[in-house]
Amino acid sequence: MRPKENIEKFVRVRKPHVTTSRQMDKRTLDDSFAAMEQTIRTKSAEHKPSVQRISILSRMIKLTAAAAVIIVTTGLIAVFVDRGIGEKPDTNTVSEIVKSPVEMMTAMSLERAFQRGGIEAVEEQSRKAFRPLGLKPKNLSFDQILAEFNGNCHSTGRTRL
Amino acid sequence: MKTIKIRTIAKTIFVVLALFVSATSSFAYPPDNAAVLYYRAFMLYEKPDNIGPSLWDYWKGNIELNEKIEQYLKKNRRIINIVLDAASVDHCDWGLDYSQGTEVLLPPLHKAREIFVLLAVDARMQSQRGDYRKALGRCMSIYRMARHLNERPIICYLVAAAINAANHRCMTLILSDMPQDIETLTWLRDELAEFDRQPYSVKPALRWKREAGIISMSLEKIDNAVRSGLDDGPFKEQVLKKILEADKQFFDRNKAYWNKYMEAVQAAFDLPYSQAYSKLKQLDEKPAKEFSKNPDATLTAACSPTWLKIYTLSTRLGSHTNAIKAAIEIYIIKAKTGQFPDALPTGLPPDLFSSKDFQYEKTKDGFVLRCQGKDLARDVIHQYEFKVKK
Repeated sequence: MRPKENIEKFVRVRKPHVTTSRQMDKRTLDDSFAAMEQTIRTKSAEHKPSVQRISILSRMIKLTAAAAVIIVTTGLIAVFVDRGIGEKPDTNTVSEIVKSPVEMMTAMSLERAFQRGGIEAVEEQSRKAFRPLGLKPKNLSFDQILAEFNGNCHSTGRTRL
Repeated sequence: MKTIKIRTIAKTIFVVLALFVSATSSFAYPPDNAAVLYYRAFMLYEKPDNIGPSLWDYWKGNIELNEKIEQYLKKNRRIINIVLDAASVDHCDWGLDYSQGTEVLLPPLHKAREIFVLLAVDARMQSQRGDYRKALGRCMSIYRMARHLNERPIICYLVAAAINAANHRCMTLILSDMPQDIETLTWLRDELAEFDRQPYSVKPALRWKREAGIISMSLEKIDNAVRSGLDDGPFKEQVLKKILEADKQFFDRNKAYWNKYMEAVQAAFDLPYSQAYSKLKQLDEKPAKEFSKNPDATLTAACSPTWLKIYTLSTRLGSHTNAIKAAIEIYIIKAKTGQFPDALPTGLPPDLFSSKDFQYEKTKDGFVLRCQGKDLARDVIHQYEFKVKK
């Protein structure tokens, strides 16, 4: 894939994650292109390369600059949208936290699961809560057990019991 | 001198005997707490990935026994034996810390249903081999396991109820497959009658829910209970905000509201089906409706489960249980007389939707017991079909 297509694809993919105004984008890009044109013109007066080379070089620089501007703009907008400009964090807001196995296995939490999806939801939550226990080891040598007791977890590779 | 010698010998014999008795009891198997064995079975049992659906199909009678299922049973024979041993023990203490209120941590309940499938598959296989007594014995063990699971929290009741309901289906299949042997059927009736000494009921769970709510509605416990118990969303945020601003009076008023609310819920469970249905529907909606205007309803809205759903499940299970008991009586008549009765014998347990006797109908394959009242949640009339082996 050519660089132009790469950048177009990049812009297409990234675009849905940000919300900017059209005027703002246009102004930013126009300014960048104007600055790039000026630089190229100054340099071309010194080196005088071929017309074809100037054309290719100019197009590449334009695209690279456009990509750079979009990345910076996207980053800044993402930061401001997430935090809110000049806004203090709200201590009363409940953040979404993934529940721990202990929280998932309380009577009240399982009752809520039942309300959501009946016995199947209760079982699924219980299954999920006990999943972090991991797989049982297929083989467990005497050396491994000793290593566990001695707290020497690096000697033979820690085994989950 | 002689007396002192005799006393010393007596003391020595006593000490030796005491040591012997204590040593024997400490090595006794099965232990006197069934939960120890259930936990062991839960840890050791690995649910098979490849034949999971066919196990359900097999015990429900949709497919025939195959090599994979036989291998599966062979591989898990020791676990079956552990569960059978556990079910034979009277006492079962899961070690739940009830002082935590609604925050009490429950055992791995999903494993109980997996173990049920294992036993149901074994029961079906025993039945197909012609060992009906053993097959029905497996069903009895499943009922006992469900009783052991029915600890005070409502969720334990519900999981055990689901196991009981599935086991009813398993037993219906075995009864339909087996010849009417009077000895086996009488034994089965006596076994079920034994359970009636301590009927399987939702009421202990209701009582505990009321107590647990009071324990959790305290400054120290409520924050954790709400954070872990409620799903993330605007409702949880509102409840937590109110808790942040709460004082002692807030908790006192909320406890009073909860007590009054639970009193009404418990009373509603005792009403006839259709009245209980409409009352519980109203009670389910009450705290959520009042929550925004009345701060006293805050914690009730957070702690209350859907009572109507629980009531409906318990009524369905109760009716199905009664249908099984009635069916056994009918099978016994068939065993004695060689034919099914023309009318339903008197004194049999009723359907709980109407509190009346089941409607009895002979069919070409066996008989049907039909409820006289409608299940309002599903808008259906339940009927239970029992067949006879030809």
